[in-house]
Amino acid sequence: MNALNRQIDNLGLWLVWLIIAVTLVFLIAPIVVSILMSFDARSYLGRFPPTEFSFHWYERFFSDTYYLNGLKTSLIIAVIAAAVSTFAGVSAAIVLDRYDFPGKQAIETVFLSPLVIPAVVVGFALLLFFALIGVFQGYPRLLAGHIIITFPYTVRTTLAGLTGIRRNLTEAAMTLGANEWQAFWDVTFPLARTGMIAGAVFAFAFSMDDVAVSLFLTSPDTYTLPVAMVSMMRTNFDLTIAAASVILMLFTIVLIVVLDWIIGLERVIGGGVYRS
Amino acid sequence: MMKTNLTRRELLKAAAASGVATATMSFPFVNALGSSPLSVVDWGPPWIDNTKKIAANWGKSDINWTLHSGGAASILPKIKAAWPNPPYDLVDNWSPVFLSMIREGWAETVTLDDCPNLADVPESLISKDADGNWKNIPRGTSGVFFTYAPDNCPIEINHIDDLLSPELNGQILWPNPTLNTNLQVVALAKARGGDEFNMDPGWEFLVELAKSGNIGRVSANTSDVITSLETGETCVTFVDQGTLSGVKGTKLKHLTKTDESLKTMLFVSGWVVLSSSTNKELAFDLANYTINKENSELYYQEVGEVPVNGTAEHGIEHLRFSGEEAEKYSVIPDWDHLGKELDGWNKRFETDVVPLL
Amino acid sequence: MKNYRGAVLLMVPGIGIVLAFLVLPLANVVEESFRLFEPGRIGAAKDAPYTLFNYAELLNTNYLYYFVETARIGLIASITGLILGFPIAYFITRRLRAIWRKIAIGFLVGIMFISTLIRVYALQLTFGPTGIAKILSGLLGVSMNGRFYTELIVIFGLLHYLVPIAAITLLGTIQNINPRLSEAAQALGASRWMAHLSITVPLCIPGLLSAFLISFTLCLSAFVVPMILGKGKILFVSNLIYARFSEISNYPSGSAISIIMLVLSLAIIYGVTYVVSKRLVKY
Repeated sequence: MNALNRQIDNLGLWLVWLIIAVTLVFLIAPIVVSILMSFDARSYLGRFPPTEFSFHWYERFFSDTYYLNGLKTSLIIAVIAAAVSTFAGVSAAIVLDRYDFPGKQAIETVFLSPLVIPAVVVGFALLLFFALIGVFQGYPRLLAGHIIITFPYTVRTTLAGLTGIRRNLTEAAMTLGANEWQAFWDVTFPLARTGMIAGAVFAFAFSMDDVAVSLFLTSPDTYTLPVAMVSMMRTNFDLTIAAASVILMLFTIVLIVVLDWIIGLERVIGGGVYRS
Repeated sequence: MMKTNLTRRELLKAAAASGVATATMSFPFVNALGSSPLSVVDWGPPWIDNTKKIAANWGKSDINWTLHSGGAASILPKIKAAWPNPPYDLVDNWSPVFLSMIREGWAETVTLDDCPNLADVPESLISKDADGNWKNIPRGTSGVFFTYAPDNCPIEINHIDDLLSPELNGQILWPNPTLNTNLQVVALAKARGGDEFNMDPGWEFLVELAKSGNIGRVSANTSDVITSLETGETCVTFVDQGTLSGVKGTKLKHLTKTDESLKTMLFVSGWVVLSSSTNKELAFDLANYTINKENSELYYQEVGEVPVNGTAEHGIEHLRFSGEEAEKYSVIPDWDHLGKELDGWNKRFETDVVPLL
Repeated sequence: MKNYRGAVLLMVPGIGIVLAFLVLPLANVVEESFRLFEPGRIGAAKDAPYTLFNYAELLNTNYLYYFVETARIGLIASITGLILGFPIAYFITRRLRAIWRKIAIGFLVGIMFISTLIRVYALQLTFGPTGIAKILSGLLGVSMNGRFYTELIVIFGLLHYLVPIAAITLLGTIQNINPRLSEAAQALGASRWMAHLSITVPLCIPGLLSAFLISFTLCLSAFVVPMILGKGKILFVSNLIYARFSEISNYPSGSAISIIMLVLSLAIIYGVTYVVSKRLVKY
């Protein structure tokens, strides 16, 4: 019985190892391929692997105002959208956490609904709506789109942060003489900060990444980097896009380091009780 | 009925304008543009590279460039959404879309005073409105036709029925209906005795093709075409001359004068100055500059279309038809009809063809 | 009293955003979806009559095909994502020392945060004709331009973000399971493998379900992945909507598809959540 068990164990273990290994290769390999290809010295899109390396795709990226404009717009939009979403999301989450009122559940559902509404539908709806009210500039339209898709993240992470805070702390502060708002600013806010920061970082990251909403809302002089990349993929599929990818990846890495530095990655994703 | 709808729209508008507009208008960069540069819409390379080079020599204004994304008609909703203040002055486009733009009243009338170089262009190539006013500035004439890469192709293609050969499994790059205004299905229809008014034979042919498994990819834009042909993913397609000049790594044989069953669709491409433009004089000036003799020759060399300027030299033999050849191999479709049918054709492609791929 | 006024004020920005950027635009889409579209035009005319045509047209079985295909491919990808993500999550929580755990989590978060476009482009370079398409399709015995390979690459595209998301969602769940339980089962004579299947996996069901829901939602609304990797042969519902907007300017029809898609995804998500929460309460 034991011998059989051990054999089943070994077989199972090998299988699991194999799945993990193959999955990791699958996750990493394409990234490595596109990083290597971004240094390809050939002037056309040739087969992998590159035979010689050079920086010329990067030179092209940094000399192409089309991409640079996109990058600038993406950064501006992401910063403003993350700020607005975080402000609105944190405010709303505080109320949802601290008050009970009729329809609270419904409001929370509506606030979180952009997470489950297909992004293309959101983009399409905003396009028609802004045409209806006569707003055609890229910035207001993109901002609106990015705020609505990032808002639920900030509500959710702040809510998660707040529910983790024991009420008694706030109540203790109040018995010590603080009024409710003071208690909030002195006790709750600092403790909930991690949730808020996580929300803001998520909002920034998702704004930088969005294609499906932005594609509908750009104007000729205002488009985001991902939209510029899609546009180039559809007209001129070359390796400048690989260079742009590597640059966007650097942003991702910076974000993760920041996230880890400020709050710790394991807290971001929610730790459990039993650890080995 | 109409009344309720108007009030509802207005209600929405009022409710939203107060919130949205005030919230967003206050950002300083929204209206930051001072002197307005010329806003030009063009296709991706080779067109935009060529126009940029010419515009740099011209040098009379800064230019904001916009790329067509997908089919050339995809610029229309963007203009529509922003009318009467679309953010474009000058749009590079082609026959079928000219008519849509003229129908919507977006194309500014052009005269020899605006563009003196039009004197060297055959008048029959210029699009006109119902009153006979000139509405565009043609740059080139070109064709959409079947072509294939003999080096990558398992068989020699001499007849349209060769597309059904089992050896071509996965080798055909089929443009979706929004590319070339679905001329590819018109070409199939022609081969089976139909035309753009009688498309059923064409659709039946395409359904056969889809069932055969020969369609390896459906192209939706020029980069699909260039990448797929260059990497050898597919080896046969129906494509316009300009896009082909982007294919550099693969040798192609153009089937323009091979067999009566393989038709070439002829069209004109060129500029439309939007009637809404506040920069018309500059826009006309640039358009005029692009069709002078030297720039027309440059256009031929870089884009590969036959320049409309009669004084310009070119050497695109496969698009030079004698009268008899033109009769046999080429078709000038009814563009106005194509534009109106596109919605239905696109749906038919979605319902009848895609599920078989 | 004062506090309630404060609370209302705090809700104003959130409600304003949702109202202006979501509720009103969606209301407008509903209205547009009942307008008659005249082919050759750009969008519906201002005074176009109302009609049910845009919906009736979608009842064509061949349009149902797109909804079914989207759901089918999404289902395959979501379940595969769970199967691949679970061992990774388990391995990270139970087998790695703190420093490596942190690196592993950083890696997963990194992969999750990578822009969809980069992912899709990288997969296209790797599994497309410039990469190993010929070799891989040869190994599988299929044509690299055939339906199977194309579908496989689309599923790869979805998996590339579903796997890290599933793994990350499951990390917390697995950490909350007392490892003693499966040790106890082994002490009672079960193989380690059986102990997992009978103890750990059932305890993870709530986590697995929420990971599945997140994955499936993402699949249903996937847009870039089929657009770039589907070779025009695999279209999700999102791609139909985009074509209605960008290529043929039939806004009313695009609106009708949007509304149906919206209703279906909300029904699936809230339906599953409802059933699951009812079930779980019983246990």
